[in-house]
Amino acid sequence: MLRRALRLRLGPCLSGRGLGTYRGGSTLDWDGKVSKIKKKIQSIFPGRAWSPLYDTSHLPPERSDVVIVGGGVLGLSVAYWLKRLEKQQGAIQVLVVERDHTYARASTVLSVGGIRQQFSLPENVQLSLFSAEFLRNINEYLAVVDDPPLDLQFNPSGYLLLASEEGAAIMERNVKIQRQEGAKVCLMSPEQLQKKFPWINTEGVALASYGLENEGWFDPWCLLQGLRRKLQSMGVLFCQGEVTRFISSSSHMETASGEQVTLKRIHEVHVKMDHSQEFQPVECAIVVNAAGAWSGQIAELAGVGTGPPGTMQGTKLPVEPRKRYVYLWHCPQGPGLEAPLVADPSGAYFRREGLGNNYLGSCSPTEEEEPDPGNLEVDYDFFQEKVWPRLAQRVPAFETLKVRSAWAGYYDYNTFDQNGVVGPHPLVINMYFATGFSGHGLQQAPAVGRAVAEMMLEGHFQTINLSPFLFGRFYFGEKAQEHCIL
Amino acid sequence: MLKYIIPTMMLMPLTWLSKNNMIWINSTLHSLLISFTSLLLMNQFGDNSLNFSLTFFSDSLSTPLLILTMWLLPLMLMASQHHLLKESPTRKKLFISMLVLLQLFLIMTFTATELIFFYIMFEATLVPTLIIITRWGNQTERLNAGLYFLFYTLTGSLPLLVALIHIQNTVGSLNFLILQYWAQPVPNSWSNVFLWLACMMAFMVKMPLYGLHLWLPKAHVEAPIAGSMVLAAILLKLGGYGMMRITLLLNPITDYMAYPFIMLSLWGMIMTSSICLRQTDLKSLIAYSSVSHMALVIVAILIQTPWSYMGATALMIAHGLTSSMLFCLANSNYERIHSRTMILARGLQTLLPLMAAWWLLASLTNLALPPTINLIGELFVVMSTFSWSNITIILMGLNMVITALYSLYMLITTQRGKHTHHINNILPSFTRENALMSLHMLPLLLLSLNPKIILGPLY
Repeated sequence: MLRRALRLRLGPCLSGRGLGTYRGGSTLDWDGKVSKIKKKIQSIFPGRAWSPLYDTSHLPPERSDVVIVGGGVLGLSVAYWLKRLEKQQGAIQVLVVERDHTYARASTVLSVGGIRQQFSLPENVQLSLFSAEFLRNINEYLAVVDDPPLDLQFNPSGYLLLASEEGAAIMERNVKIQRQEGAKVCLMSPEQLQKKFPWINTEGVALASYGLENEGWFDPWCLLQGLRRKLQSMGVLFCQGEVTRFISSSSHMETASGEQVTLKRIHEVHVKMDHSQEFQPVECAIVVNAAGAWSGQIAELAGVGTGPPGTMQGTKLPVEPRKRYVYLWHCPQGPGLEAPLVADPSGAYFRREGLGNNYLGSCSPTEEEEPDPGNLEVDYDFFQEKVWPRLAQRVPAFETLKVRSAWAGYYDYNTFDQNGVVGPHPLVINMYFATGFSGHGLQQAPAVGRAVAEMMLEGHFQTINLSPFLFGRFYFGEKAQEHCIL
Repeated sequence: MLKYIIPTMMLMPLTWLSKNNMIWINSTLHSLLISFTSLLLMNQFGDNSLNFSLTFFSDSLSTPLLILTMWLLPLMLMASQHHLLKESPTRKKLFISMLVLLQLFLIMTFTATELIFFYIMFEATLVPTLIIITRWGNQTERLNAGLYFLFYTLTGSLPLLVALIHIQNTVGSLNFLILQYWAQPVPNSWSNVFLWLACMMAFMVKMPLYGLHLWLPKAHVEAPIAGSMVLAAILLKLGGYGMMRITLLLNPITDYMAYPFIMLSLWGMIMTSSICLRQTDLKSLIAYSSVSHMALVIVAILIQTPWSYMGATALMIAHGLTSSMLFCLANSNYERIHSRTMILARGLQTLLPLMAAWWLLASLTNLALPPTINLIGELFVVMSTFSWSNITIILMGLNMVITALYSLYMLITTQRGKHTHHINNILPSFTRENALMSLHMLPLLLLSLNPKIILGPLY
């Protein structure tokens, strides 16, 4: 303050140089030392964090009520709804542990970003419907005081799923289910298709379903940042680290029918810091596994699946990372602005990207040609051999396209039935899952987050009943198979 | 008095020389035996006090507090067993020695004749408490909590030292037994106003008075269970006890000096009760309820009528047992779920019915259900403040309603409703925990059969 006063008084005289500094700085670095001492004194005052021994600001807190493993859109969504649905503000302490804050390998930001209601399970349709409503009103949900509103760049262009002769009956049935849940989908014959989208080659297409409302694509990075910003304003703690260990305790109990079970409870989560051996044990009451493609590893750390196969203890979480490529190409003669996200019966799909005649798309590989998920290298031969011919066959204008770039991302692929896993594990009773959505996790994230938060706070699903997605189905063998997977 | 001090002091070599698997058994058993001998103190003479020597005495005000102190040590040791499981034997012995040292200082504080001796022991109790809070507390905020606790109490009590030495110089003696009869009226003057403030502020901070209560939620929440128990049950009563002793010397200026503090306490008790309704952290709720109950005690002591003194003493004992029991219950929850948030552990009645019975009893005594001694204390205080000023009955009535509200809110949130999935496998109640709760409840219920022993010297 004295400096400021002096500067004001001597303003015209000094040539704009701050008091106390001189050319070249000082080897003794007085300014740095003074500010360090000031910071230390300030930290001793009541209300500030004070650690007399060493600086622990990079470590997560020693205890937290809920620890969410994974800071992708699903984890942040669960945190958001937890803070939103808690009865009193500030009741629950939430910690989000994310290994990589650049999100370099996270599925959220590498995703194509589409949202559709055209699923075969009614629960999936309901989830996407709520998520679409969330995204439409995102600036009411995720508003932060004094911050600019979010621009999700939502393109409501819809999805166009094409079906061949064999798939036509299934498509009709699915559309009926979707309409029952409230999705607006229209069925088109090949002639109507040709009239509406003249650039499509309708050979081999028997039926098409076109989403009229709440379908399209958006910017997942913007959703992620919006959620992060809102969560920080709501008091959720973020920490960069990797979960390496769970300290848990087991107790032997008997079910009502007399059989013995061992129930496990996680007491502590060990979060290891990057590039160091330092770790912090975080005491917690609940752990949420939202680790995406690596949920299987986290589940194994908690002891899910360690047991004789064929029992509930031995049932692993069947979520594994599957690499999927996305290619970006330029085609001036292409479909243009009205093009929806077109999904061919052969598995190839594409959508418009931006306003410069760019498109992005890909094709899901078959089981035999699954790429190695060890790294995120792109295989351009896959495009040449598998994707381009199918695209060119469906849209003749794509014969003259030029690939600009490509990237690869992981699906948190549920090998059992390609649908998400939500809810608590029956045996590790304080681990909740929110993972395994196999490519449609981003679009269902807001609704899934709400469902998991309801499960944690109330004990049952309140708005959307996701009981077909509980963990128990892996043991009982009840598949909730999703047929419309891109 | 040596018959209590020396055995308590010898508890320390007992723990250090015990075998590792006998530490808890030895210390708990022997401290329980010592607490039974404390009942001998009840043998009071008529209107006078039981004088052991020139240094120690006990009268019917300090006797119940002493018995409570000595009763609490085995309870604290029982409650701490679980969270110290993982520590090394040396650390465990260190913890027990801290508790025993604290016990020693507390016994000497409550029986001190000489007021400087009382002051020294009063300050000495801060040191083991600080060590317990900062070393064995659960979170990083405990350092902050210890700081608040230490400096609030020190700043409040430094003027007390000056005032005591001044009184020694003017009156000639600080021996309490003599002072009772030698106390001269303190006329109104600025220096006497400061004398009054200097004497009382230490105890106001300790009670705590509403405006100076900031240290209490922090210290209670961050302390380990034994720390919370001793803080809530005894250390707060040190303030009440000291106030009761020192007001003997401060007439007649207490008549008008006490007004701002009575107002502050009356307002504060409603404020802190209302805050309890908004708390999400269980321990924090119990800490604020302590402030609310102690505000009643402050009002009672400051209006200085026989009924109010009886109510204050009864309320101190009753609150000591009830608060300590509530902290033990909250701790039994915390040890199972590792979270203090109330809404994460709901519906416990279906899983732990016996513990639910203890929760019910503790909540009922907390809201001053007849015929417990909690009610006797509160009723005496309400009646005496009503006769002091009729309007206070509105505030007191409002406070009793809000106390009932938050006690039942705490009970219903933790015990009733559907239990959440993640508490399916909590361990059933240990015998140790049930014994702990029953040892809290039994004196409380038995005292309602014969409350005159806790009604203090004015009965």
